[in-house]
Amino acid sequence: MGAESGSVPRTPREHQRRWLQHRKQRETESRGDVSVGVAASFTAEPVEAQAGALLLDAGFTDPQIHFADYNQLHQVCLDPTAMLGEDVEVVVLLWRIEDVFEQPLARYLAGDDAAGTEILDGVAELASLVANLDSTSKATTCASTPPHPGGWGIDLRDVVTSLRVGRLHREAVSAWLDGLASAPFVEIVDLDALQRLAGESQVFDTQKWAMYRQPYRGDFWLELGAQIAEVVVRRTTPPPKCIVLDCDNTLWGGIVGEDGLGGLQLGDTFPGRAFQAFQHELQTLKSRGFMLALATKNSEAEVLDVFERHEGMVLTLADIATRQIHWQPKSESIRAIAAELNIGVDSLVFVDDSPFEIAEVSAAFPELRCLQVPEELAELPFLLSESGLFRRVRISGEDRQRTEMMQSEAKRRTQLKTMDRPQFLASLELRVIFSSVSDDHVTRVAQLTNKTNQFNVTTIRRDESQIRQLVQSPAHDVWAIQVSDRFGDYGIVGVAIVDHGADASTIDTFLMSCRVLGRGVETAFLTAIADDAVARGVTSLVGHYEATRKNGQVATFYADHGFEADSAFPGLFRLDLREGRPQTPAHITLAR
Amino acid sequence: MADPLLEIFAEGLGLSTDVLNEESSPDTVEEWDSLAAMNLVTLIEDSFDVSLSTRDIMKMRSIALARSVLKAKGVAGI
Repeated sequence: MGAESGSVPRTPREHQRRWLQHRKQRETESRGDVSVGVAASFTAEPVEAQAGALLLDAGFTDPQIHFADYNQLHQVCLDPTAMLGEDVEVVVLLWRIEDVFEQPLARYLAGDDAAGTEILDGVAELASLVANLDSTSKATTCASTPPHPGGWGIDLRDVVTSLRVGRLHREAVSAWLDGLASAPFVEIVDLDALQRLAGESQVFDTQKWAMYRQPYRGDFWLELGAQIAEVVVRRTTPPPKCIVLDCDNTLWGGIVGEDGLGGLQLGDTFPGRAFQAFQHELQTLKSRGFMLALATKNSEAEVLDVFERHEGMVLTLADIATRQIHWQPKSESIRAIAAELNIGVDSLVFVDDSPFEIAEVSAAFPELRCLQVPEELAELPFLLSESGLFRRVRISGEDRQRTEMMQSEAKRRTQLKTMDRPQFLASLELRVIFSSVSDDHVTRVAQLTNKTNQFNVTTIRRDESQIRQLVQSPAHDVWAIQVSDRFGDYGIVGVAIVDHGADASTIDTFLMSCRVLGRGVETAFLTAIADDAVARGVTSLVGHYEATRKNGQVATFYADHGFEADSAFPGLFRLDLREGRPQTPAHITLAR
Repeated sequence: MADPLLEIFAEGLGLSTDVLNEESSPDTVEEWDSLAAMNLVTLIEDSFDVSLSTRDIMKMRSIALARSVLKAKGVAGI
């Protein structure tokens, strides 16, 4: 791998070009060499090109990145392969309080404390679904932390708002991490930390949020894509176990054999400060279980003298697991250290200031990861963190050691949850209101017929005047459904147009917004249409399926609901209403 | 003669320039959905170094309309 410092970072735009280029060339039915599924509470598709290009850089030839429909986190946790494909190997869940809990958050901001409790219970419930996913799925689960809410309605310069939101956020993060405590293998993308790192006013894209529910600017998608790529790469890359260190101009400034103990730069003025900070960083990593070793060309007595006598040293000999101090090639030292610690060379990370030494060890061990001391010494204390090699993405034991009070609170929340799918659906308190479209709703209905691509059986587009004509036509019914659940009201999310003939009614249009899919709402809608047809004395209901590039998910919609495919006319389905009709799922309240 | 705006639409929609014309719009091009529209906005802003308001974006309901919005913003060679 050679020196990892010095690679030129590319811009989000360059990643996007590279990814589009790759996508153009790849075979359409390729299964790829890794499959990543993303479910997010916001429009997250811009992350595809960023993560994709970085995975190509990391040596994958055809990474596949799929997206679940928008805001389907709960459904993905319950049924990941249905939402993201059978082959999915990494499930990435990205969510924000202001999306998943949009309505209770608005109430909380308006002073309703009960809404805050509702949010925290919802967070704990989502965490339990993620923990359940992790324990039941073969895929690696990677979940984000909830970022501090921001944007519309949240003025962080207003202290009443900032303190109120801050408190909710802290409790939500605690509830989330407590909930994940039972799932030690869930990897974490700390979206909250990333958002703070970039700075809130720098990350939000207000226009794209307004128009597409896409909250972030390009640079932030690169940051997020890099985190996802890291999680994917880490699955197949051995974690480092030991950091092998050069001494002169790596642990301290200067050459001990020439400058003497008193001539070394290591203390509280620059550049000695930078070396000291680097040693602190090494000590931190040691405390997290990484071993430290020395591979250096010096006289052993002089190096030991620095460790024992130099007042600026942070590391002590007790911190060093093993050492190779001699004038033999460093590749020999690497071999000896790996043998002594009984680990592979691919579990070592080698740090040196000399490009020659790095080239020498890399030639002998291409699998060895090497870091070169940067020219700019102020950057030295960032060398290890910037490499990304030592980042932990799991919550470890000590992070979860919490006070008794917090644990009992966590337990109370746990009792609320651990639900299977029927229990979850029942807990949603889904309510579907079925009604005939009135003039007030013509605009929304026309909009839905024009922009719904996926759950749309015929994809017939109509403008407002066409909808109005159908509303007035005695031979037609234009139906709409409004859906709400305990998370909020989704408004009008489904439209159906029914053409009534003498003894058969034909469903000309049946579509649903992807916001409410996967909850049985479509069955309730179809039931209401069938019930209405029966009330009119109609004996047969007819449905059409017109395949498009995007509506594959409804190919079996009518067949799944008891319709018989017409053998003479492909795409035509009939339901004899005298023999049976769909039933509203038990977890849905259907109102007219 | 390659038209830069047409090239951008082709790239953003994943199509060849042959199947696009001035009248191409979300109503005539299936690939032109809201996700593609979002990508197109980014591509256009980056390529012509302009920033588009939501009002501008909502006017861009065809390639010809996108062209006139960009012309009005003083983009050269459009």
